[in-house]
Amino acid sequence: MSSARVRLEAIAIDLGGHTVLTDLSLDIPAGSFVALVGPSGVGKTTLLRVLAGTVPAQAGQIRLERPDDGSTPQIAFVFQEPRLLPWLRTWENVALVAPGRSSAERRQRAEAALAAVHLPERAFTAWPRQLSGGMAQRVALARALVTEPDLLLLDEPFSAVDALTRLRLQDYLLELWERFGFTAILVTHDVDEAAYLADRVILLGGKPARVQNQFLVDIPRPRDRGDARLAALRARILAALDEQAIDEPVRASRP
Amino acid sequence: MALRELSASAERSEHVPQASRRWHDGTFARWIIPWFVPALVALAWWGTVRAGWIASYQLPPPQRVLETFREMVERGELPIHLAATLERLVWGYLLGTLPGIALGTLTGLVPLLRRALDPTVQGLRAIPSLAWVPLFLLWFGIGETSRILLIALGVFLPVYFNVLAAVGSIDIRLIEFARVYRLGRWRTFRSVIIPGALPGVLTGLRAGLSLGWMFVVAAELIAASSGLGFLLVEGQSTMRPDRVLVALLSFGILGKLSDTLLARLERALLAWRETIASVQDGEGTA
Repeated sequence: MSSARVRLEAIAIDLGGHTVLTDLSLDIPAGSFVALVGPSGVGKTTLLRVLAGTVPAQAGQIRLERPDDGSTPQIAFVFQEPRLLPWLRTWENVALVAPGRSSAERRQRAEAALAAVHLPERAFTAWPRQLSGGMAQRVALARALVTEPDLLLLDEPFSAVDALTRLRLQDYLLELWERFGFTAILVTHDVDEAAYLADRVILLGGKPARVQNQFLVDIPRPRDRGDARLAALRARILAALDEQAIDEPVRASRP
Repeated sequence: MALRELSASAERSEHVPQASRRWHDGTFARWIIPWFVPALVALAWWGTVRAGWIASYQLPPPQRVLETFREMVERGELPIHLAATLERLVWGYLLGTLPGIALGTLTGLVPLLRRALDPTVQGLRAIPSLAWVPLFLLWFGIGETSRILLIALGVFLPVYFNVLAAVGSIDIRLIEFARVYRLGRWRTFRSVIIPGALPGVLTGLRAGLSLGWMFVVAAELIAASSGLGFLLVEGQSTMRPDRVLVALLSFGILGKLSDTLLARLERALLAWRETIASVQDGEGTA
């Protein structure tokens, strides 16, 4: 699997007649892990949709390419909810989007992807409604993975599971990213999650929104969740977020 | 990661206090209890006729109806009428459901078509379907064509509305998934739209079937020389309530059988909705 470089140059996005994002420029190196944070409704999800190609940008340039040959990268998306098709069994949900000539090959790839997210084998043939929230989200992760993405877009993927499951899913995601080397762009409300996972945390804010601040997370992996440097960074991000959120102030100690 | 093997039933018996089993929970009791009321009705029926409260030319006793039933089967009379009714129903049902499904799907998927067509079909619904009878007779004559078209019309409307509603109620988030993962039109239709609409389509098919039975009777009451509906009219005009009752019973049995068949089909096709037992994982325990 390869990765994708993402370059946005002065893009603007209109939704429902008004400008949501403006003059937004980003350069995300291939293989990096970027987290997007910002107040609710700032347009983080919209930006992901633009990158996925389901929402058009009104101005500016979007360049997505594989650095090795300049070709169009494969993009996969993990939504906030698992969005599994309830009428397909677990493995069928993954095989549906798996590449491969024969159905046997697609099934094999699907099962490999499910194994990569540590799903117990007896859940492979279960119906989605039989899975717990965390398991279903792992299936969604496997479904993204099986497409062999160069760019993985994640829209608050762990916000609906319990705290302990969330930590575990974060580690699974990190493991997959290290193993397969795709570029990851994660939208999250959880500043801990952003700082723990990403190389760089990008703060969007303002109306219309633009990049307000970027935080480099210069801490080698594997990171310790209790690391003092992580805590300091978290405080800085929260303080910056607090300045953005005029309507709903975030309670954080200002430096 | 620690995996716990938990079968749903084992867990349930541990935590949920078992409801005490009542005498009428057994398999045998479940089968026999529904027959109590019909048996009582038959007994009361027999009693009233026997006591002379109702003249037997108006209401023949149960054994007389059974006797007539046996006679009609033996003479091949009942099978002929049954076959005639079933044939009409099948053709009318096909002619109603196939356009109903096709048009409902199209209007459900294409907003322009919905805007153009749906108000007209909604308007048609306001006319009770039986009100079309005179016009159908004028147009198509008193013959098989009118009858089958009338049944088809009765079946079409509920199928169309249920399919339209079913296609419209498909989770928009699953459609977005299909777009993001570039499933393409055909695979989106086959893997997302069809299975997503299926529960509503099956509801429509069952509603259509019950209306089909209603309209087959209507069509045969008006103009027919065969069929169970004809038996009703003929029994009335020849003062044979036993034959009328045989026809009524046949309708009851056939209607119930055909609905059971569709219910079976529904359960087989919608297995993904039926499952209750969950797959457990050691999430959060390690």
